Amino acid sequence: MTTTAADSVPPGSVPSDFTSRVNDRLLRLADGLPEPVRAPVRTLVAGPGKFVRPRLLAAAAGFGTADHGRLVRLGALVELIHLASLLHDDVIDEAETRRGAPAAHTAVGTEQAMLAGLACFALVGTEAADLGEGVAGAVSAAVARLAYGELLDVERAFDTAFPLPAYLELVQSKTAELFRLCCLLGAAEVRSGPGEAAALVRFGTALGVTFQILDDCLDLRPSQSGKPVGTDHALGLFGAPTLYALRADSGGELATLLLSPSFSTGDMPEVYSLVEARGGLEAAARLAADWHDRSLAALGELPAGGPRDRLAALAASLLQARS
Amino acid sequence: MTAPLTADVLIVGAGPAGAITAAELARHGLRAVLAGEEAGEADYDLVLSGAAMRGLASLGALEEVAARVVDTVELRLGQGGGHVLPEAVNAACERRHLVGGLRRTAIAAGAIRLPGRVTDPERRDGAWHASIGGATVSARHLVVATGAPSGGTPHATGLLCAQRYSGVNLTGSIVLALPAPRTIDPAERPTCVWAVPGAQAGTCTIGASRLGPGDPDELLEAARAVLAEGDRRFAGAVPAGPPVTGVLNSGFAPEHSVHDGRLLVGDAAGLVNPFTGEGLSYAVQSALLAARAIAAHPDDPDAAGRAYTRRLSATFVGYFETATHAARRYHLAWRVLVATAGDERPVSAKVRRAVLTPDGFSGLTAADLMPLPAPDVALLGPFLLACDEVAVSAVRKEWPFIARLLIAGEHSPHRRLRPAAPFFAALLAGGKPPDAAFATLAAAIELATLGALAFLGPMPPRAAPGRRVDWAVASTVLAGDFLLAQASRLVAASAPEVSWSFADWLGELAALRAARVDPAGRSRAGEVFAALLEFPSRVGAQLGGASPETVRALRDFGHHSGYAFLHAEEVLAVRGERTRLDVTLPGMLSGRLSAIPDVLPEVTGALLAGDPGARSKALDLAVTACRDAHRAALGALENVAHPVSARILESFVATVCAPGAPAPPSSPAGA
Ligand SMILES: Cc1cc2nc3c(=O)[nH]c(=O)nc-3n(C[C@H](O)[C@H](O)[C@H](O)COP(=O)(O)OP(=O)(O)OC[C@H]3O[C@@H](n4cnc5c(N)ncnc54)[C@H](O)[C@@H]3O)c2cc1C
Repeated sequence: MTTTAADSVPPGSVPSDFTSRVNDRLLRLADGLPEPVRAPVRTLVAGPGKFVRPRLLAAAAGFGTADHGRLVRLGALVELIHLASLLHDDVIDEAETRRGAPAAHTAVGTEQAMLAGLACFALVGTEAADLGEGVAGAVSAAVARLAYGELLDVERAFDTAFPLPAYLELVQSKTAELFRLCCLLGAAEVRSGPGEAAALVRFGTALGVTFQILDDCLDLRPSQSGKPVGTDHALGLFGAPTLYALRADSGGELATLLLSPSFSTGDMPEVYSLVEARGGLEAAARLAADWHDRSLAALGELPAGGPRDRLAALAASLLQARS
Repeated sequence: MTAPLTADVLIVGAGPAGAITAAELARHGLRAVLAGEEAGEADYDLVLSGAAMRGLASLGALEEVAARVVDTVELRLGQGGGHVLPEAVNAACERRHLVGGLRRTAIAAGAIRLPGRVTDPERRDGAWHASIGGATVSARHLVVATGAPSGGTPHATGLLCAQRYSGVNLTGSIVLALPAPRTIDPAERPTCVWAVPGAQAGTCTIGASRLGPGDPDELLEAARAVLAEGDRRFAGAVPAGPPVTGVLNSGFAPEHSVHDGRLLVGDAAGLVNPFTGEGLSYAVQSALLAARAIAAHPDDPDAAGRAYTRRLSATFVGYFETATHAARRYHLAWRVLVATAGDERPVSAKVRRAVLTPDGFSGLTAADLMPLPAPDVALLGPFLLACDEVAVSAVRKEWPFIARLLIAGEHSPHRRLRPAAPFFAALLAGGKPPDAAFATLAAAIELATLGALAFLGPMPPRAAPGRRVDWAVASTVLAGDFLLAQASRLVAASAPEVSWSFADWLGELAALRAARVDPAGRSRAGEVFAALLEFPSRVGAQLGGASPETVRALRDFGHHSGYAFLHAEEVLAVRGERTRLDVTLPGMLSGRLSAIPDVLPEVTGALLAGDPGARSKALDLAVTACRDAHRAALGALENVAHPVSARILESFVATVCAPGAPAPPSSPAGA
């Protein structure tokens, strides 16, 4: 691929039309799929998205000079991995809605939604291969880790004794792996030196873990994000605060409540107060702060200046939306 | 005190594993001392699985142990009614006859039997020394066959109980039941229950196994209740003997099978199926492996130990969990088994077989073997072994049960019907000996084929609403994603030049299946299978440097073989025989896998109702389609000049089409 001067992005800046170009690229990719797998993918792509992962990738590529066209394709690629996982996660969790619209499996049926997810993963594979061997290698390794994370996530459903180290392994495989990939691809795209790339990758992982812990806290109490409370708890997916609280649940009230067959999101206020009383929220906040510190430490290893400031600002705004 | 007895091998413990080790060693001309005390417990009947029977037959000991063949295994998973496990021939045998018969076999082969307890053998000056009763023995090798230790790894330790009953009307079958979990709590442990007919009419042995702590009397009572529920044969069961209890130890890890120079066999090595408590097939197999490893290195105990560990890892891959996730992985397997109990999908059937029975098999194969001349086998064999090794090691750490699905059977893995075989032949078509590095790509193709089958089969029905995980659907997505992702990773790492085509292939499979499932779609049933087999042939030809015409010919060959595979499945399903994908006729029809309803829409209902007229029409259709596809595949092969390549492919498609035989004559040139 040739780089034209007009299309190259100077260090540190993310062009203002980046996310809209990523969105266009995603629509183009979805339109290239044959029917009937196209429709559910198209719907999902057309829904509102925050493009967290493409923006992270672009910011990580800010430490060098990138080809804008490739950056857009890479951004669309990481978003597509996210969407493919969402399609399959919604099939597993039987989620009713996604991005404000009915989830794919409710619209087109379980089997078509599953096949649409498979078609998306395949599209990820061809698009990654088109972008080069290095991209294909990094993407396939990350997707393999995500699939393992998906397994861990289902397996731990309703596990009130899920140990913290296992929880961290899950979070690193499921959420943080994709954040890590964004930083890795961004760094590789602008040929960052090994030290810089390693720091970016560590930053991505730590940011992803922090993001997920805060997300788990959101399942317990209403926030400005508008995420509905208790969905994960109803599915038996207990996050950091609840898992910490369960360790201090000597009387077993919290575990009994969480495993009750009639449990619903209406029980969340009681869960909240039990978790709070057992110090779960405080412990999870400490864990999040610890991982946040790790991300800042990794950031500190990067050269000071505009790119680093922009990356820090992006991270702060992501985490802000979670708290 | 008498003079010490010197021997090549001292075997401590004269249960099944010990006796077989001694017999096999004696047959290899080694001096074996079989020392062990009597257990002295009440007698009961054991289930001998197909694998255990084959092992005993290879020693010529089946008659000696008075095994009674039982033709039917009824499987009851969860709440659902039972169904018969296809082609599972097992046997029943009394514990006392088994142990007595095997000891006699060992003595007849030349082993020396010393009754009594052995305490702490010691190794001095390159030999083991031990005392048994009044005698002392010294030997170069030591085999430990003392049964399950009571203090094993917590995640892998549990309880095995059995008790004789009378008043039971169980004659021609063994019943195996895995009750559904009672709660959503993953801390709940599975219990497995079985019943095996006794030698006297009206008697049976009821057994139960369970991981984790438990009370034997409660466990046996629960077992009886599970069997009696909705099954009148057990309504009048009354105990006819005392309960017998033992330790279940399934903590096997190849690296712990040799301990300070001692070779551990059978239960002592933790070789017991954690779900079913089945241990005899492993006892037999590990005993034979240990004896052969020692016979191969009679003067070098360390080398014998290394050989033993190596052979065990290859044989028992994926059976046992050693990872930190063991308890959760068992729990997952249990939930999935129970949730997919009535499920007709290929992958569910394969998983059932893999987890519950000790027989090996592979994703795409049944028992059919490709006939091949020895020099071709010599060429193909090592490649496929390398392929298996890569495939297994790609998944075994993270998901061992999946690894079991990849083992291509205990016998002749290189002659099984599997996509790696045409891939290899296509590599060869370019004229050069295939690069061994392509075994990794072959592994990726096999992993992907298995993963694709998860998505391409009919869907399991959704579980009833409620607060639970829908295990059947969830496990389909998980297994499919996991396998395809591992496959893609292997491709990117080993043959990046095909990353694009590989992903494109997966996309094509998804699109073809989606079009087939879509009520408005017009996709032919065979297209998915054609695409499944077209890719390995085409890509193999390209990578092997074949000419464009040859690549085209091989692509066509793969395409027609895929059609042939589907039609052969139909032939088997209509005949009511076991299909390669373990899918039944109703499963094929409702899952839109079969082409029969496309051509004969009017017969479908009558076919399902068992109408003989409809059956013979459908059979004719499938047989004709199978032969046509066979002929077309052979036609494509006329443009493959390399003789070995053509021969392997010919044999492959002939084996695929065997259910629709007689084989057609090779088509005239240009047809
Ligand atoms: C109640 C029950 C029912 C079962 N039912 C089935 C079934 O139906 N099908 C199936 O496949 N499996 C079944 N199993 C499991 C199966 O019996 C075992 O896997 C199998 O017996 C293992 O053989 P082994 O030779 O390794 O050990 P064992 O059969 O335990 O034999 C070990 C022998 O070593 C002796 N020994 C121990 N320590 C010493 C010592 N220091 N010195 C001398 N001798 C010693 C013991 O007395 C014993 O005779 C059952 C197990 C139990 C407990």
